Amino acid sequence: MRTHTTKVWLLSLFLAGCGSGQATNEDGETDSQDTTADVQFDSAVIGKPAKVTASDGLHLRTGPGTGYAIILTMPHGATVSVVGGSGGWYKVSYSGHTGWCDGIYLTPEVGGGGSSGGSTAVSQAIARAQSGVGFSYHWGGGCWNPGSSAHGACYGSCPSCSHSGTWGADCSGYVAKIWQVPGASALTSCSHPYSTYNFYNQHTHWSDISRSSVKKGDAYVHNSGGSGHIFLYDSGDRWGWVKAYEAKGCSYGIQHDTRMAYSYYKPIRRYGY
Amino acid sequence: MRRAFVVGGAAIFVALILMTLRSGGAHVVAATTPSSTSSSTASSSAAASAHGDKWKAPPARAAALPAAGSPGKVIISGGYGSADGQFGRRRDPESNPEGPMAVAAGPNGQLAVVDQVNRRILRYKDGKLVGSVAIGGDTVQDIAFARDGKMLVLDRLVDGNVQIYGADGKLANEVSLAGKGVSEGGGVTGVFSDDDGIYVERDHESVVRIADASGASDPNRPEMVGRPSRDGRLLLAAEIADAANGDVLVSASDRTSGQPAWKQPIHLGIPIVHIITLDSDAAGQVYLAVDVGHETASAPFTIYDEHILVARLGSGGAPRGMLSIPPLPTADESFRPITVDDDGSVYVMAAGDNGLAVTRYVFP
Repeated sequence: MRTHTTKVWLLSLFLAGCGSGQATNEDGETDSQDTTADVQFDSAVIGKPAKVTASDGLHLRTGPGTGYAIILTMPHGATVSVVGGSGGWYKVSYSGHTGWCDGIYLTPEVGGGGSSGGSTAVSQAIARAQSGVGFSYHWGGGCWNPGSSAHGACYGSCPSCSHSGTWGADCSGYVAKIWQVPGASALTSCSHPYSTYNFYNQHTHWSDISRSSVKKGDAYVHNSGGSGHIFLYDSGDRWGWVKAYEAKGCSYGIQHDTRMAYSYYKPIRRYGY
Repeated sequence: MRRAFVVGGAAIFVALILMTLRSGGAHVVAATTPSSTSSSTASSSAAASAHGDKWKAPPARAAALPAAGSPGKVIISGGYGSADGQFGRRRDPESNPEGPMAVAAGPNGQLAVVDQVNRRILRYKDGKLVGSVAIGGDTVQDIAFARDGKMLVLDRLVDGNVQIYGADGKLANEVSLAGKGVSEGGGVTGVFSDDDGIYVERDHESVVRIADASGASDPNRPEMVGRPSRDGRLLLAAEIADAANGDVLVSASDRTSGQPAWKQPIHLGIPIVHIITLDSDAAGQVYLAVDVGHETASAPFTIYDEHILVARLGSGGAPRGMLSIPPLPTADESFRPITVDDDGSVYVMAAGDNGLAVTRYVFP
């Protein structure tokens, strides 16, 4: 039986183990530098709006590649309508023009994972975070199956740790999936598009914010001297400690716990939250 | 032989560790007066109201905290590793960095360091390692002593229990966190004891009695607001009243009657990052340690001028001085990095890049 699902595949950076960066070419489009892997893009994005997240704008081209002519540059935050995709490039409509752009700089507004904005998107992000609690820590991983009792297990000391089972995430894979960046993907679709280096040093789908403005759905990230961690802010308590969602480490797995957010962590917010 | 090596290398480790700290020892804090007494009072009142507290905040006295402080003295130090005299550390690019999670002061001048990565509790007397107690897992985060020397070890996230070790270091009992009053282990913010029982704190607000003083589980699990003081007479609580303004409210209630005893607003004069600990000594003095610092006005919004202020409160909550000490030097998570002993000495456990140091600070 033929399913109704249409698969669109987004070629995304896959930084297993992390620490590698991504480069932006002169057209403001991403050059992949590391091993790549396909990230399944939810078919529901077709025909739906998406937002431009590239801070300097995003070229709309006549074809799916940087060799095609530029029609115009869509500004950061512009809303486009996705009409198709191929190899990580999306065919979109914008301001009366139809063309192609690099999908990594689009955030589809699907299932609360996009920039639908406000409390709904944040609530859905928190729901995704909650659904991951109890699953195992998986170095370089970023997927889980809500409701499954097969949580997987982590052994040893990372990055030399080993993992058994299908599901699990490390800290950055967990937050990327919760935030649905670079684009919407099923929780069961295993991907690891960003490392703590990316979350700390880049702003492709998020921005730095002040501690005084931190709210539910934001994240605290640290990356320095070979150490890095990121956790999602759920709430704060009377001591200023953070109730966090975090893939804490191999021995701990994914937790919902109260902890201090030291000054070495900086808060960031996903665009649209 | 190994011990001799450790002692011989201690001076080197101390030097290395101190080099990693952002600044030197404690310094005297000049007498401070709230710049706006009225705003401090208003903040405190608002906080009290928000928590349904019928108490009125007393006038925010110009909390002229007397100048106090003295340089700290490193009493325990060691590098990272698993040998005697070393401490376990986890640190990689994609998980929570952590060093030893907690330090606690016990009876007779004992100190205990939770070296969870190495699955052990290290016990010290007068700065010397006198014992090591093996623990079951590597996810323990807190420890407290009972007055009779029992060690109460909290694993809130994985095993979900409090492990009770006798003064001889043998496991006597394990009490599950799950049950009435504790809906989620991750919400537990500490383990405590007094002559009546063993408690876990929930969200820095109230404690649940999970066992009696002998360590036997309490099926009734009654709750009290606040954490037990060391002298057994008070239940203590603290909350940030106004983080930007540097206002904290500390309150105490009578342990026996449950009636409010005193409430003291404290104006620190600098924005608050978070409260680190609330502790007490055998004389009933209360100690509040707060991480403070300014945030830059623009991205990436880093904290500068960061330090830790330790305020001491005496009878009735009256301010009795404040210490200023260096901030924790790395992002390594710890759960109880500051503790106070019977005599009022303040111990700060700092995980530096080259090793761990426990420094003792004394109010003059």
